[in-house]
Amino acid sequence: MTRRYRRGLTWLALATVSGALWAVSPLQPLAKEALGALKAREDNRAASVASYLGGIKATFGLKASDDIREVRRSTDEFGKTHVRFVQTYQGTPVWASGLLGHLDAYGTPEPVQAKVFPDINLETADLLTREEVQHYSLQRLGITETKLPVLVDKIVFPTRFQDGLKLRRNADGQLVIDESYSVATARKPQPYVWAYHVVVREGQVGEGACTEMILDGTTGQVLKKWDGRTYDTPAVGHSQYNGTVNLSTNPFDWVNGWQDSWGPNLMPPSGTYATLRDTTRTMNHNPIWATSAPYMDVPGIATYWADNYYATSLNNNSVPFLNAGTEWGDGMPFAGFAAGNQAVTIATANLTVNGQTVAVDATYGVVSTWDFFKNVFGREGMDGQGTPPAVFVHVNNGFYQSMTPMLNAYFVSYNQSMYFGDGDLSQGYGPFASMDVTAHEMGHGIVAASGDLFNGYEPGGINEATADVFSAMTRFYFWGPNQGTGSTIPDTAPHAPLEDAVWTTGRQITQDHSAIRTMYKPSLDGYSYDQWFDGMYLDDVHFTMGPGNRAFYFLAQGASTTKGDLTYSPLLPGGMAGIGNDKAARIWFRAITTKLADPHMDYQGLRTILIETAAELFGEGGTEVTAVKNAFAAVNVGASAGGTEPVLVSIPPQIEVGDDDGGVAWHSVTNGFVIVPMTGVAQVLPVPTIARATDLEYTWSLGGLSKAVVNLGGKIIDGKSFIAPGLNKKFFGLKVTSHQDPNQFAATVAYVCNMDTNSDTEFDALDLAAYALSWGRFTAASPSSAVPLVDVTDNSWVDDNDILMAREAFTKSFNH
Amino acid sequence: MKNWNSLIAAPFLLVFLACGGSSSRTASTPEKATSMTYTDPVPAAGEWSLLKDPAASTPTRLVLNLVGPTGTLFRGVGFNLKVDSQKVTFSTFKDGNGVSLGYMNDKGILHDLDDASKAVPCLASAAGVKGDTLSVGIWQKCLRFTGYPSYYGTPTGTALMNDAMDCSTTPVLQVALDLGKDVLPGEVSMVISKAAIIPNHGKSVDLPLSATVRVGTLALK
Ligand SMILES: [Zn+2]
Repeated sequence: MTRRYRRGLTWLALATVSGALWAVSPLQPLAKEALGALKAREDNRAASVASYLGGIKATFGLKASDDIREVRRSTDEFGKTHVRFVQTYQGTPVWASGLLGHLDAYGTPEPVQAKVFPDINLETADLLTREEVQHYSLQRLGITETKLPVLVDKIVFPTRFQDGLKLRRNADGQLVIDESYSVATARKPQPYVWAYHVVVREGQVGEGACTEMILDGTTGQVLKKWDGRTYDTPAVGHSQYNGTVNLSTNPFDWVNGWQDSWGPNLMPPSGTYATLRDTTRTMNHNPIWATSAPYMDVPGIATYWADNYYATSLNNNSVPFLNAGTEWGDGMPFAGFAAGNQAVTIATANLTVNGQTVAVDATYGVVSTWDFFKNVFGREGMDGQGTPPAVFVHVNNGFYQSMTPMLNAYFVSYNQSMYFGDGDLSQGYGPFASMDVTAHEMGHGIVAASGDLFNGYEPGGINEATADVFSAMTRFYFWGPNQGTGSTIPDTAPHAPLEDAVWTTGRQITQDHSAIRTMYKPSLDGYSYDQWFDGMYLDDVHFTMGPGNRAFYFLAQGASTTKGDLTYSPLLPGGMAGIGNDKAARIWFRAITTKLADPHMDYQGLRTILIETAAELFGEGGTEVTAVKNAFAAVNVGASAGGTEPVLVSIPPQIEVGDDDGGVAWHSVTNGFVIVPMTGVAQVLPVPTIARATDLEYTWSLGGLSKAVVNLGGKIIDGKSFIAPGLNKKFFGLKVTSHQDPNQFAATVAYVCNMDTNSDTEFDALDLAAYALSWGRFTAASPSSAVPLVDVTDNSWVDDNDILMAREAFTKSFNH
Repeated sequence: MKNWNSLIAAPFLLVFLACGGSSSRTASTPEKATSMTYTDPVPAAGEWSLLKDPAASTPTRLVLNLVGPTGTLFRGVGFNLKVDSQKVTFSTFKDGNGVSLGYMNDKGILHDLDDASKAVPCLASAAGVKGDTLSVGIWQKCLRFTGYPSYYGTPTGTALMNDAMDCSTTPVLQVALDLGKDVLPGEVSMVISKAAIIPNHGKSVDLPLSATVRVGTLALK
């Protein structure tokens, strides 16, 4: 558990361990006909689940004003129908709520998982209109227009989920404040507020242009803000990566002029062409794109050319790949950026055989992943309903004759679409359309359709890990002995194109074939974490995925007993045996698709539902349940089978420790931040907490500045202080390590800022004047004389975050 | 602009017990002070002053309005007020819902110089007490821009300094003092140790300037 969700926890968690009550023997798959009959009755069965849940809602503490609303359903291979609901209050959905009801093959309800908020008591209020919300949404983002309407949903928002400051990694790998997604709104005193969930789609793919926010319903203040896309950081026919592959194309009557290009018309003349669109897997239309352009309202899985070059948006400019012949691609790396002539090579990417190659890879990767989920798990597409993803290739950063290559790929859940960047050979990366990437993005689609895992913090890391897990399993399935046939996942990959290309990602993309991520030893990338610790969530989700990836590897393939091995964990020195890819993947898939009730699930929660699922599938007390426990113990989540709970070191969520003369204070604004108003006075370190009182001492380190020791019990003792340096304004990492168990530590981030802006050696409310003077996001228009030395983020401007921090620091240091 | 303070309108009755000369008392049983008498200062032209808010004050709670020079707009104002905290203590405010507003009741009225009907809630305000000193400041965001051609670039438009505070027609902020317990009658020292403003000069930018804030005299009776 992380500390964020522990504080003031009032919601009701009714997670019944199904193994204990129900799983007398492991589940058996149904015959195909029986399963078909059940799926045909899914409407009625879902209605039964709804009515059952409605009848027992009082047991969750829900009142008459609370209700539930179905959001999606699926029927699994065992004939169980799973229906997902959200709680509603006076008809309005409650953010972060989730209920999962189940009906077995015989129509009997099964135990329910629920994350609900029983204590909501909101008066009706005079709320902002949708138009006002749209206006505020743009204003908050500093934009004046979007290509697509802002999506607005009224919700009830539990304010414990309000965001604060966030971190990101800069180009040098250092943690800095994430200005784009930090929220600087003072904490709401009320437990719940009316609010709006907005999706702002600027239509400028590749420029951080799908932002989701939650705005206060009456004031329009931003309460939460995140990237609406799930994507990967470089962390990177005749296909480039998959050899010669069979594709399914469809004829299409192209009308030149449908595209909305700002440049010369480079599209071929009107006529009938073959397009990269597969209708053998599904005949459904992607519902979002169907309304976007006439040529996108088509059945099947379609791949589009994202023409950023002569366009300002992907939405009206992405066009199908058109081919008069039957052969696609040349199997060569895309030469677009390497050729040095963007105008010709990018704008004609659709028309050249070389430009088709990346489309071949992406299409093949996506339809193969579709087959993997269908053949192994019986899943029809990402949502289980056969809704096709839309696939975009040649996606790059920027628009209209000003582009840079995108060394990335991402998935957008609201339109179930995947976007693949071209990479840049001169930077050492080929197109991001290898199978590990396509399967990873489709894995995000499975998660998005299953549990709405929040895209940030620990749930975001679990989302990424799950995408990597399914990506690896897809590759084992296709690169294994049976090369994509059968319904089981092998443990070997003799057909892998490169050595160690399955438990790693990126080897096909990088020109030197180095791995971007390594599941069995995530820290090999220099950033990812091999084990969970308190404070890990402050980092990027592509690094907090580490424990999830590693735990899955241990579960499937085991852990070494030899110190120094890449698969050795000091937290499980005795090692473990794996249960094999097939069992491990089935446990993970079933847990994510049938038991993920909590959108803010953390690693402890993941461990819990995996144990439940292992018991359900393979029996309680079996080696599978034992293996899940050991695999997670090896990454510091929970106890090993039969073991004791590990020592847990954590840093208090609110650190407010001042020195004796009251001149200095620490205060965490939100999300683990500690602000240190810098006055050159020795700072007193806060006392961390520990789960087991036997651990007596901790070591603090402050970004390498100095070390200090704090004793428990005595609270503050000698050697506890450090001197903040001169006028440097920066972050300091705080790490506290247990002496009893050196494997155990916690971390947070402190922020030091000098606030004596008028240089009178006092810090008071008058110093805030300088913040106000430089309170704007620009540099050139600001007279240099008016910009004081308050660039607390090491940028040359001051924004709302800085104002908030300055106010917090003032309040904590001045009120004594 | 919102009225943040429901106390202002509360119909307190000012009941004074006239206290005849205290000289007849003996020294061994000194009379405790029961009320605060504040005499407003007389500011010179261009000066600020702390004036008693008669409606919001009671015998044991003195509410002071910060009032600026007549007819002038400002970008912000702040000051440090030092008192004898053995005799009076700085007091906090609550809003209509009982939520604490801290040591300052911020009443600053903001004007968008382009559009007077627009609310421009962009204040960096703070108030705190350390020892004998209250430090307050409200500072309006001084730079505004109309668009972002790029994230860090020069903004479009040049609409700088368009939001200002009216500090004269309405008090810009309030602070309050409570009568201490078991305090003897007498004068109470009140000193403005430091004050600053940011003036409003149309669309140019000024650094904070030191300013004069006049404070009156306080007697406990
Ligand atoms: Zn991802």
